[in-house]
Amino acid sequence: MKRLAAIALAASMLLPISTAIASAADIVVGRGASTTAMDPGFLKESATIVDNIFDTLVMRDKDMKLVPGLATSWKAIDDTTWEFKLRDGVKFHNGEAMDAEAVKFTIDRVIDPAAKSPTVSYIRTVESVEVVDPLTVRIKTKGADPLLPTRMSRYPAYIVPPKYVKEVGNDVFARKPVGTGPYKFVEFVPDQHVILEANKDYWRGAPSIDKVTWRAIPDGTARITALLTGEVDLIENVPVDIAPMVKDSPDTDLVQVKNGGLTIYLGLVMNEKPLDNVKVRQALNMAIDRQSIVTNILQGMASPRGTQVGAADFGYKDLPVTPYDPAKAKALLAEAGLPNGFSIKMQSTHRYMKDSEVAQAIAQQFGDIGVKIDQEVLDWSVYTQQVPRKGPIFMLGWGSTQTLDADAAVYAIFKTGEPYSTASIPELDKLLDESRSIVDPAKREAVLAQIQDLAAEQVPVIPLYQEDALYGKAKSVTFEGRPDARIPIFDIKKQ
Amino acid sequence: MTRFWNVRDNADAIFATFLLIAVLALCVFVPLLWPIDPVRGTLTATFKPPLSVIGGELHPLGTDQLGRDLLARLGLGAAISLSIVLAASVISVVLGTTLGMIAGYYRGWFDIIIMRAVDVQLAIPFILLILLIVAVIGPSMGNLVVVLGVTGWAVFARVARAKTLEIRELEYIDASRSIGLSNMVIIFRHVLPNIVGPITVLMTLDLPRLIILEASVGFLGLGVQPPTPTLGNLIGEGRSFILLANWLVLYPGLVIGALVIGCNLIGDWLVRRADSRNA
Repeated sequence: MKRLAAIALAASMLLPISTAIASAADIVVGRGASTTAMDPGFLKESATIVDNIFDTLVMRDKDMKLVPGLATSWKAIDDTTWEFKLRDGVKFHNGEAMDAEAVKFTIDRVIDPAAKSPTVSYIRTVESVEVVDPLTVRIKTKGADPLLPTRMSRYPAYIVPPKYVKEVGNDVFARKPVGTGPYKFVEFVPDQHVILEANKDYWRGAPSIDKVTWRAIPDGTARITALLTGEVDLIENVPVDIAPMVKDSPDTDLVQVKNGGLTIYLGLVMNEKPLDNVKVRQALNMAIDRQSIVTNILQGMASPRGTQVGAADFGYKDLPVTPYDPAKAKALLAEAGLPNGFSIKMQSTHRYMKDSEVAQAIAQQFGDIGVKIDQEVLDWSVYTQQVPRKGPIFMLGWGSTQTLDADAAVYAIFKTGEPYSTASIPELDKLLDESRSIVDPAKREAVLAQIQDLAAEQVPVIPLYQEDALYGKAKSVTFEGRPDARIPIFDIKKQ
Repeated sequence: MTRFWNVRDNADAIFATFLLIAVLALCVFVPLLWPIDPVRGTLTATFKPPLSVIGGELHPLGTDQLGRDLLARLGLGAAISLSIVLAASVISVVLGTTLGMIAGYYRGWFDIIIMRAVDVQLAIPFILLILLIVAVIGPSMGNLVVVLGVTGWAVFARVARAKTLEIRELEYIDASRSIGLSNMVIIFRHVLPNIVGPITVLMTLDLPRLIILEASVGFLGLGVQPPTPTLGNLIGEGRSFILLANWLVLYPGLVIGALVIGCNLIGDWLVRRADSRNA
């Protein structure tokens, strides 16, 4: 009996020590939203988790340069064909070999029109994939596509195992993903967590962190509290007002990725009066004091913008931020035949940084030029049903951080008839189409600049500011944040 | 009369009256007399703690996330919440009492249909029903009053019917009928005055439920839209900043608490008085 007690005592003393040792190599990440499915070909959310389970042919290093991934090299054979040489000896977590067949399977299942992949637009230029030999694959594009290697660096082009996917079907695959990446899938409890463990045979070497737990903590305050108490090591989407707490704590750091977030804008349903009048749109554009909003509401965690294109994008033109000029805005309204202003509804939601507060501040500033705003702040689930068609003024965030190209930032919200566009400016449409058919980068850049100039004058949408990405991390963890919003655990070290 | 003023017996009612008068004073005097605009903010003066003085203006309860005066917002918010709740309550009472009296007086098919409708209404969770309706017809103050009012009729119908069943068997009702009064005159002139008492008690007990319901709907963002404050909106918006500025949640919370406790205590006290009078 005595011996048993002694063993129990010893065990109880040992237990905390052993967990302390284990946790040094474990990491817990607190996220704003739970994941719903982890099939990289059919994602409806950011790729943060799948990015750690799967690899792409081409990768981006921390300076956002394209570097070899599962492909060791690639070159254009002719105008419409790209050839990729694959890395030898890479295996999926279940032992399947990663080869040209897997690449073909990955792309075919996404571009199949019957599959209705939500993210097919990113690789819509692909015509077909051809297997040359097990380690060589050729991708044919519909027209010339200089951006194809970029397209192969992000979802939906994460390479998936053909045998496993065929065997278990898409639904099971989305719940139990198998990839070639640095981490293997262990467990997924919806609305709770996803657990991954290190893939010791990873082709870039074994990761230093053994186990990753992605916890869903939707409430911002709770997320920060979890970080401050040491329950989690890293959090996404730090609420701006309590960000100083993360900065001031002796155990945590605030990681601010300048321009790492979405560009927030006001959409204008242009077929509704009086928004069809360019003078009214210009007046609204001038009535907003962006600097004051960014400084006082967002605590400087965003940058006022005069264009929808992100600062890190190809094709970005550094246009001046529209100056705050209520007197001129009033004069423009008078010129438009509305000297006494007008009443209009403005919708917003709770999804972006302090968006409801920003919307109220903008409503007040519109009120100052005589535009009476009838505000509606809706839950995101209701909001997505109504925006962008209802409006007539609505607030939305749009981003090109995943492609770092101006096309993603403007085409979908400027072009007449696109699902998220409420603008209709024929001249702009012409330029947008032209930009998609040009191969020469310099010429393309010139057209993209023209698009931004025209948008600044015609105001198809009112750009407000680009959010910074804010992360909070424990001091024991190394993480700098990336402009493409990824969290590669493989590159993270923990003491 | 001496019993009415007995402080020991009526301590709860006195306390409740004090609470309610305090809230009513807030609702009336702040919107009327307090000079600061409740919806205009100064972006350079956000999250100032209570008793801050900014640009010569005193903010006794501090400022919110947009630099608006919390006292002004709390006064207007409480007034709006209370108006919504009272208006909704009147709708429930009128609708419920009328239907209940008709069911109890006529019996037969009316009774069956109305009482089954009461069962159905009571079986559906209120908040779910309200969320559904508001999501379909859109959030606005008028809609909220109608929805809260129309969904609250069932309990009043039940009580009114039970009382009417009791009263319709009394001699004076027979007498009224025998001298040829119409049914409507009997219901409204002779039945109604006799059920006003229980209905009033029920109404005071139902008010806290409505206050909390309105606050919940506001908290969920489906009630009155910003920048107009209500008690629920204030808490819903202030919640995100609780670590930074606890006064944004604390004071609206106290007002809701005072209202609910006050109404409940008065309701209990009315019940007690009615019981002792009947005994």
